Amino acid sequence: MSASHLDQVHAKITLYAHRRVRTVLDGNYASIFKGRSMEFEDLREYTPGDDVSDIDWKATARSGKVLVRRYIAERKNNVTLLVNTGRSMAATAPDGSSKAGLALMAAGVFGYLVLRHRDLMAMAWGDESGYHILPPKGARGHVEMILSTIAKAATPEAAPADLNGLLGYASRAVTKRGIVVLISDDAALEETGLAALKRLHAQHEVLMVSVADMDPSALTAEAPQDIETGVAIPDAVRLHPEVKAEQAAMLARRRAALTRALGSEGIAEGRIESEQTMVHSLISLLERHQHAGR
Amino acid sequence: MTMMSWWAIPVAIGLVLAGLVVGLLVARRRRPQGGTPLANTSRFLALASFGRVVRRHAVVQGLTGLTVLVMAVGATMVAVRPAESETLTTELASRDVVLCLDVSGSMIEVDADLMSVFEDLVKEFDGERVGLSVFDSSSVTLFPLTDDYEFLADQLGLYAEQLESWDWESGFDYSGTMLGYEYGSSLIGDGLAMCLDLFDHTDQERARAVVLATDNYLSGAPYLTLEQAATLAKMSNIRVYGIDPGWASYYGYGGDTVEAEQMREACELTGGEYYTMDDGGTVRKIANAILKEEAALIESDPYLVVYDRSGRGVAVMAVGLAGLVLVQAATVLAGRGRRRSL
Repeated sequence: MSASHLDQVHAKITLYAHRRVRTVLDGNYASIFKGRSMEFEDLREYTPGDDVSDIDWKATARSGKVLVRRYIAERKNNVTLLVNTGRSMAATAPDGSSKAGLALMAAGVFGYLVLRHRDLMAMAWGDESGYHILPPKGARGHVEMILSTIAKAATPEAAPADLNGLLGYASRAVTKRGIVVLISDDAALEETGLAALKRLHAQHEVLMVSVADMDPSALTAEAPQDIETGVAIPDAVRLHPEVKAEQAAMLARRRAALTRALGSEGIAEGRIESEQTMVHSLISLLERHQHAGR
Repeated sequence: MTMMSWWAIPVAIGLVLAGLVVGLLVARRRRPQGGTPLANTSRFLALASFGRVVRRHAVVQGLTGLTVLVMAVGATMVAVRPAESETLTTELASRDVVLCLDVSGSMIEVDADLMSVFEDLVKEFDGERVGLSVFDSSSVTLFPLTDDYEFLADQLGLYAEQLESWDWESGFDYSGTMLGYEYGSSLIGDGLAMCLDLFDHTDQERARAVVLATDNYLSGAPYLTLEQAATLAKMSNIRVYGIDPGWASYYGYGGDTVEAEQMREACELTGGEYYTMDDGGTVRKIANAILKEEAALIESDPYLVVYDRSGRGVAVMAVGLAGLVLVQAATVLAGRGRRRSL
């Protein structure tokens, strides 16, 4: 890993997202905190990405330009990353890259936004070997350290991941109120995990970022193996039409079940499949979070 | 059933075991090397279709292995060279007999008997060949050496009948036997020489015999005397068996006539025998005696014949191959059917 994860993430964001898109991302991030601990400051011209409800219609009618109200944060917001690190995060994503890279970039995008908005970032992470937490801080070096911690914790040599255990830990350990961004993968969310997620969501606002796993029946490369057990998955079997069909049906069923479970709690989920589409996926996630009925 | 290369069995077992060991080693070495790492595959691996396809592949591979094993067994069965052995003596099949008959008036009765006896004998022949030549002033080949027994019985029967119905009034003339009668009749030496000429395949090792029926009453001047003809026979390793009706003693001349003595000498010179009817013998007995004598002469040392019996091994290999083709074809067809249905 090179010196600065943040610089890399910034380079990727500018590579994959147009300036206009970045403005939208910025606006969507800002509006997460809308209405909480903010004071009206002044009016400025509307730019795409601004919440339509921020438009000051009277001022717009008077001036002839679309004007939105600007707020100033009364205090700094907390963004807590909850990263499901461990061995499985080092596995392959649908675009063939490492899931760890996608998770790192997702965390980096939030780090970039946090720094831009002078907010604070904390992180809880861990696997079967143990869970850890870093307190919220606003320094660039702190965010940088969070990213390099993720990079070190999501390797094939790490212990097996434990999403439900991590959620249970986080529901007790994350005390500072704010936004909780859960970065996990397609690991199963069990009853205990869901209960912990509900507790977290009651106290904070939870967003879920799912780094997608490569579908074994869709992988074109030969002879994949399970990262946990090392057992090879025979090509002749995983690419068999019957298996593909049943896998596709099962994936659709599971996605629908997860969406239903999270939706009934008012938790928005975004799914990340490649670096190219990440910024758009995150924008869409932030928009859905605003409409999730808080 | 013996196995000529029994050592092929341990060799085959060793090869199969070595193949298995090498296969396992290769499979083991290949396994840990980094394939694409995938996470959260447990639900995928637990799919019902996954287990079903794994079992199906296991069955196909098991059947494939089985057919290969069957082929290996078949190959081993061929490699050990299963053989059957049989002790054989030379068959009578390589025996040629030429009936050489003097058809001068004095011999008709004996000739008729000889033909009817041979008509019976050929029914038991298997592989022997019989030819028939008659002579008087000149020699005529009625049929050359042949093993067409139906034809032989037919012809011999026909001639025997013709000879039996012969009488002095109607006369008897085998077309061609009276050519040059002005130079004499019953030219025995010439007749025998012509009979010797019937033997073919002189390059082959065959038992050759002439049954010469004559009273050896020469009336004329032949090119070859009986002794010269007998010498020819001896040179060609053909035995001459003489049948003499023995008229001399029959008519009371008593003792051995000069003719009888000449004939005996001629026959014995060739290694054959001389028979005379006045020993109270019948033509049948004499014919049997001749055949027995010949059989004793040509019977060689018994020898071992070994037959390879690889047929069963080849059949097993064929079954294995057919099984392999069937399994593979069924797999391909099943795959095609699936693709179409999707």
